Amino acid sequence: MSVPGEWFRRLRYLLNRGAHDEQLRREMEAHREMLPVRARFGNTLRLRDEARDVWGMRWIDDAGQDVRYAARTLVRGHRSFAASAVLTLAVAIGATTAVFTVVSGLLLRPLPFPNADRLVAVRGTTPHPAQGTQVTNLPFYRHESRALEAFAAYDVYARYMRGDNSVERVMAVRTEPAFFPILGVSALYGRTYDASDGPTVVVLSESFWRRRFGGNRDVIGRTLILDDRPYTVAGVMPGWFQFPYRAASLLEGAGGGPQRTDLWMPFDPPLPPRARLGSVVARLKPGVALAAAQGELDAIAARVDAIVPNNGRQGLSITPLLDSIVPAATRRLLLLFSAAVVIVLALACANVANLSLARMMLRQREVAVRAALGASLPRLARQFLTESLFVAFTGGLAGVLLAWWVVKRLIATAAPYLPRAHEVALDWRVSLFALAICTAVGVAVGLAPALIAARRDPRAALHESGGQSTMSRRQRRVRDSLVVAEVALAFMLGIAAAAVLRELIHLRATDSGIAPHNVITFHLGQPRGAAPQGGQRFYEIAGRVAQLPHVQAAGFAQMLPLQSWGWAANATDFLVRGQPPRTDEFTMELRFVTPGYFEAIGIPIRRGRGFTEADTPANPRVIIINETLARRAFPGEDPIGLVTTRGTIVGTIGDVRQAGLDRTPLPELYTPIAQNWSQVSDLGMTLVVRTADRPEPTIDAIRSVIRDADPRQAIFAVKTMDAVIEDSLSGFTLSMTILSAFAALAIAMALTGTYGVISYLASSRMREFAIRVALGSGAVRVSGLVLGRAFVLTGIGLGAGLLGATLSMPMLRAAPVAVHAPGGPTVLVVACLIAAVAGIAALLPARRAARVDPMTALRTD
Amino acid sequence: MPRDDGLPPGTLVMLILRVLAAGPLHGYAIARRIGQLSHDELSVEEGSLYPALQRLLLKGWVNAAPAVSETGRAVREYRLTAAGRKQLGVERERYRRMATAIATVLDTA
Repeated sequence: MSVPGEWFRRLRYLLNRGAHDEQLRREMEAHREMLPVRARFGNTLRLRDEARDVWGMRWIDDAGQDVRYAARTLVRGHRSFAASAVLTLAVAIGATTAVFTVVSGLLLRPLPFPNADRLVAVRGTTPHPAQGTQVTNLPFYRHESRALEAFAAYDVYARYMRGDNSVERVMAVRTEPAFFPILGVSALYGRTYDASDGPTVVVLSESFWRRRFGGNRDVIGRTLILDDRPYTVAGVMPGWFQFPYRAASLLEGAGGGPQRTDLWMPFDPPLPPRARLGSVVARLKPGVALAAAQGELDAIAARVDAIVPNNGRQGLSITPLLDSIVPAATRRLLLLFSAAVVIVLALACANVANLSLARMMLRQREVAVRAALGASLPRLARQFLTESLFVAFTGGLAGVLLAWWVVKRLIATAAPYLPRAHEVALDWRVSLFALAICTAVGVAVGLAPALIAARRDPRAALHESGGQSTMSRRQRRVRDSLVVAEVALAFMLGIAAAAVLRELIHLRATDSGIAPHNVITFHLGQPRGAAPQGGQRFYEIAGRVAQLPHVQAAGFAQMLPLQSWGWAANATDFLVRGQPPRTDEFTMELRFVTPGYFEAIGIPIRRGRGFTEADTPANPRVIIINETLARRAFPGEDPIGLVTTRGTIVGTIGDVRQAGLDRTPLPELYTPIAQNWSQVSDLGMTLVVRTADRPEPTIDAIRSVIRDADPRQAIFAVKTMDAVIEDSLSGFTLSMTILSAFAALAIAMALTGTYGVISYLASSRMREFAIRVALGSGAVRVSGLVLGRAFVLTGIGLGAGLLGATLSMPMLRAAPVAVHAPGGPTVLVVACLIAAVAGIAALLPARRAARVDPMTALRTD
Repeated sequence: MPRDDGLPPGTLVMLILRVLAAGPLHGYAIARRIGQLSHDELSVEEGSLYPALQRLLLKGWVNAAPAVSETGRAVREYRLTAAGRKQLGVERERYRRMATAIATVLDTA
């Protein structure tokens, strides 16, 4: 029965138990004094302890004693054990904590908005998955929903801000007025906007405010010219407010710009009622469950379907906003890393448990002596647990520091791929996790020695010869299986890392279909509707850039391969004129280019010709297709000269891996921008320039040509094509680096673990070896015994690891690109590496065994 | 573990509560009072008295205040709290029921 009052009194006792115990001592002494002499018997100390035990607080004194004893033992007597155990655990707990910190920051930590659990992301649903997830008919829901108190649509747009002598492209989020009230955030300076504001206000992000206005608070009320229209600055948001996360990834059209939102502004004009909306956020009424709200939305959707003609059963679905932020691919990747780090942690635990077991054997005498002197067995077991907990927490503390450093570095590198990266921090969740991990590790590592200590008969230990005690069969089996497990786990991680590494090498060597060296790219953008008529200016810029010294070719494309390449169109109506419609459905990619593009980026023209200046709207429409499209659309035909629904085919070009080095080339159709200007005008263009050697020195000259030709163009994301390709692999490279680091850790731990077990095994058999040598066994034979044991264990471990790797291979699908199952040679290389590592680990003990001097070894007792 | 003092389990607490109901006493005086009242039939040893007193303190049934013994030593005087008085009622009732039950079994079996 532990009522609160009792705990309160216990606590009070705990806080001044010195005084309390003193009073107890005095009154018990007085009591004894008053007794008749014949009745004064019994151990006063023991009687008092029994009285004190009633408070149930003795463990605190005991624990303090244990910790002091543990610290003393470890620092004085077992320094090398303590150092290796603490180091091993520091690395493993550090890695585990680092991974958890990222997982927690991305997935567990609530969004930094008030009542964030009531925020939901709204998506459109339709029976046809191909139609996407855009939200339709929002006004109906807004009007009828009782479960959701407000909705706000938003989208991301590039805007062009006129400065003194240049144009800057800014990342703008256009929102409905309810956006800020729904999120419940307020401005750092000034204010946000709501329904009462006109359409010409903007709210700046903190980073944009610092960059463009030097952090000057006078900015409130100032005027900004965006796309040639004046806007009034209403406020500045705090730096942590970056919703929507990773705005750039939501942006249509040319990518490669800044990742973060620069400003928020209302939709102008307001959204039409039939608008299809890409992003909508909403807030549940207090106390309404998600499922109930979803039920209501479904009911409204049914009514909407009855009212709106041709609605096609479109509805809405809601998910917690938190769950919608981190993409599924990132979640899978985090799961993969978690699995890898758990393996590393398990290996570390196995190693340290192994070390403590070995130490335990050496300490059997100490234990026996202490048991003989009256230490109870549970008390002894607790002592061992305290020691391992002490080691775990020391290692854990170092590990948390390590994690803090690693996470800081990792976030700096991974920020472009991770939404919420700036919210990742060592918070209380992480602290709690680290605490739990330390405790679990301490118990896991200390349990085996503690159990052995508790079970051991002290007399047996005292009878045994010191230090050289042999292992029981069971103990040996435990340690053997530790080696097997370590080898197996390290092998699994090794295979995974090798598979990913091989894939990366393979991808880097993949022919992308273009010649990326000495190519520099520039993104150009201009305010909506302000594009020069007919795209003539882009031909002019390309022509002038091509005249620059060192420049070999220059041309425009709308989007770059491997960057933001997508512009899919249905190929069903792509036919030779007069032919019946196609029966097979497939999509093709539309590319809009100027004549110099193919030469500039290095796409070979296979047949026919490229585009020329003469391909203007005044002349017949011409197209060029890639080989994949030619094969797909006109199998067995010569496509050159065919007059199709999209123009006359004048040439075919080589395939390009536009979508990713790991993806097969898509069917592509190229048209000159001059003949398709209406489809191109509003999105930006990308200038591709090929130079004779390193392109960097030419950048300034190219910039000034562009500025000279059209001062209203914003130039951004200037990158070499090599860098664009590298960037397309950077997420994968990062994952590979992390996975390899884990694999390297695992193999290192397997090495030390194997070394520990084999060398203990060898030293415990030293007498046996000595006898063998004395009886005439050669040194080679003796070391062979040790090595043979090591190789048997390693072999079993490799077999188990291969099995485990085969079973867990599907996890590798989480990698950002498709990873193929590793072939025999890869597996064999890893297996040899691990066998070699195990061999090295066994070599030292084997040599020691071979050099055993029978006289010394047999006399050690 | 309180040692065996010949008392049925749980009754020591009730006896202490009962003698304290008459007024505050220190430890030795409690033991002596129980002895006197039982005509030296019951003797309460230190080994069971002090653990029992700690339990009473922990349960909040008694308070302790500094006092001086007849021999001039610093001791603690135990005083019944309201909760202790209530507990005494509970214990007495339980003891009465138990004693009756035992007597019934002894008489009728």
